[in-house]
Amino acid sequence: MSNAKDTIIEVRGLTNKFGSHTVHDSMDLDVKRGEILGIVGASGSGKSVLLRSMLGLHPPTSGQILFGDKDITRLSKKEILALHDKWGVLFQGGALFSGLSVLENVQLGMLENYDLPLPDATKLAINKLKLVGYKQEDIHKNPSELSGGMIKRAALARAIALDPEILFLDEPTAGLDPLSADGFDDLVLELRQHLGTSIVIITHDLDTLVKVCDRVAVIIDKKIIVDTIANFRKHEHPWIQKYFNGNRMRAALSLKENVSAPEGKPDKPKTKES
Amino acid sequence: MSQFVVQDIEAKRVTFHVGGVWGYANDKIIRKQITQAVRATSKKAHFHKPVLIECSDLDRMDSAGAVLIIKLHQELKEAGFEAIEVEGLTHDDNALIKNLMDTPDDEHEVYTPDTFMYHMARLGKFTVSTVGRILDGLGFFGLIAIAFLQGFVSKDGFRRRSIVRHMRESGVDALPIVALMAFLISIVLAYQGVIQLRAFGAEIYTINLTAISILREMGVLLTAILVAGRSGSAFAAEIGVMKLNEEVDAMQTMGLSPMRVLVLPRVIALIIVLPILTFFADIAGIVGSAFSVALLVGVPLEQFMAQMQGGITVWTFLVGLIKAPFFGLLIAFVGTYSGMSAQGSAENVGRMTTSAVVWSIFLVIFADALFSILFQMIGI
Repeated sequence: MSNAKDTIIEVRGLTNKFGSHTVHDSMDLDVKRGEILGIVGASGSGKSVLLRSMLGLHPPTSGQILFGDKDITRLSKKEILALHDKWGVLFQGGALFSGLSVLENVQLGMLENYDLPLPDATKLAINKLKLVGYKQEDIHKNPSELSGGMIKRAALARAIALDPEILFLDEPTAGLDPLSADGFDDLVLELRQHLGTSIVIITHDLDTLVKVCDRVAVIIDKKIIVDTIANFRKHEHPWIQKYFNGNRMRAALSLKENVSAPEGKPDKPKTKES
Repeated sequence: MSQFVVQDIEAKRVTFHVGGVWGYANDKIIRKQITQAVRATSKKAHFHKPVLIECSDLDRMDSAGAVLIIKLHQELKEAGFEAIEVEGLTHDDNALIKNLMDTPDDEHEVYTPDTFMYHMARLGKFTVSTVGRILDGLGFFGLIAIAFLQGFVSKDGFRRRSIVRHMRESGVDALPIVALMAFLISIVLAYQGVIQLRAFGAEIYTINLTAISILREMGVLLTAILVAGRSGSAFAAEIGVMKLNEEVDAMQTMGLSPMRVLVLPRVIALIIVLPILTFFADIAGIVGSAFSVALLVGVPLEQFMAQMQGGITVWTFLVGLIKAPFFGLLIAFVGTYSGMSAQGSAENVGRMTTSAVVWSIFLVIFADALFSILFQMIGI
C-alpha cells in the first residue's frame, strides 16, 4: 500500500557544490501529493541539478531527499533503480532511445522490469500513447523520424507507462508551437485528474505556470521559495518582482483571467500601468 | 502468498472474488492464479451458470491490473462461460478498464524473417546500396580533390594548424603502439621462420625473410591497419556526431566549407603521417628481428647487419614506403566519407564508424595487392 502521506517528496538541507561553486545552499522543499508544482529560476540556478538530485542521478554534496520513507541520498544504486515504478521522467530533449521504435520505447519498462507478455505490453503502450494524443499510425516510427511535438508526446507516454505516483517534466513545452504547447498543458491537467499523479514541472513557459501549476518553487540565491503566483507578485525580492510582474507574466495572467472569467461578469479592459 | 483471485462455486452461480493490489508488481502471480481459477471452474456443469467477478476487495488497480481483469473476463469467455458480469469497481477503475478495452490493437504484423527469400532480398538490398555508396564515394573523392586544388588557389590556403593537430593525434600519438606492434609481429615472424628453415640448416636466412617481409609488406600494412582502427574510426565518429549536432550545417551557413575545414586537413595529415609511421614501424620490426634471431640462433649484431645488407636493396625499403601515403589517403577518405554520410541517430553513427574501419582495411589490402602486381611488372 503506498504511503498516503500528504507530502510525496521532502527535500531537506540540499546542498550542491561543484568545486568552489555552490549551486544550492541548504534548500528545503515539500512536494505535496496530487499537486502540480512548477520550478522556475534564472539560467544557471541549478534547476536540472535539483531534478537530477531528486532522481538519484546526482549525489548532492549534503542534504536529504525523502521519497516516502526512503532517503534517496542514502540508497545504493540498486535500490535507486528499484524506485523506477514510483516516478516517470520527461527529459528535456525527450531522450527517446534512438534504436527503438516509439512503441518499443513505451513498452520497454514493462517488458524489462516485469514479465508482461508482449501483446499485453503492446496494448498498455498503445493505451498510453493514445492518452497523450499520439497518432496510432505513427507508433512504429523511429525517434529520428519524429517532429518535436511528437517526440514530447512519445516521451510523455513512456514516462507514464507504469502509472507512476509522480511525474517530472523538464521544460516540456520548450520548442513547441503555441497550439502544441497549449495541448500539452491540457494534457498535464488531464493526467492529474485521471491518474491522480503528482507532477513537478521545470519550465520557463509562463502560460504553463499560470494555467497548470498549483504552486511555484523559485530557485533564487541558492535557496528555494515555494508559494502561489499571487503571493509571489507581492514578494519583495527584486528578481521575483521582475519575474512575476513583468510584461510576459502579466500577459499570461490576463489571458487566464479572460478565459476563466466567471459568468455574468463583463471583462474589464486592462489598462497599461505606466 | 496472498490470494488475488478466489473462486466460489455455488449452485446458482460462480463468483470470482478479486482482491489485493492488481498491478505490475503482482502481474506474474495474478496471471498464474487466473489460469488456475479458470481451470478449476471450467466444468461443463457450470457453464450455464452466470458468472460474477466481484471486485470490492480490490485495494488498488493500475493499468496492468485493469488488463488482468480484462484477461480474466476473456479467459472465462473462452472457457465456455456465457454470462459474465463485473461488480464492485470504483468509478475510476471502471473508466480505466473501459479505456483499455477501447484501445485499438496494433495492426502492424511482426515480421519474423529467416526464410531463404528474406536473405536473398537482404543480399540484393545490400548489393544495390553498396554500389550506390561506391558511386557516391567516388563523388566524395572528387570533392576532396577539388578542395585540395582550391588550397593552392585561394588566399587562405591550407589550414595548417588543423593539419598539424591531426598529425599529432593520428601520428605522434600512434608512434608507441605502432612501434610496439611492429616489434612484436617481427618476433613472431622470426620465430616461425627459424623453425621452418632449421630443417634445411638455413636459419640464417630468417634475417632475409624478416627484413624483406617487414620492409616491403608488414611494416606498411600493419601501420595502415592500426591507423585505420585508430584514426579511421575517430574521423568517422567525430564528423558523424558533428553532423548529427548540426555543426556541419552551422559551418556551412557561416561560409566555411566542411570539405576544407573538416575533411581536407585529416586527409593531408594521414598522407604525411603514414610514411613516417611506416618508417618507425620498419625500424621497430628490424630491431625485433635482430633481437629474436640473436636469441634463437645466436647471431651477433654485426653478422645480422651484414646478412641483412646482403639480402635487401634500397628498393626493398622504398617499395613499402611508397605505398604508405596512398594507404593514408584511402584511410582518411573512407573515415571522413563515413562520417559525412551519418544521419539520423546515434546508432547510425556507430554503424558508419564500424563500416569505416572495415572498408578502409579492405581497401588498403586491395591496394596492396594492386601495388604488388604493379611492382612485379616494373621489376622492383
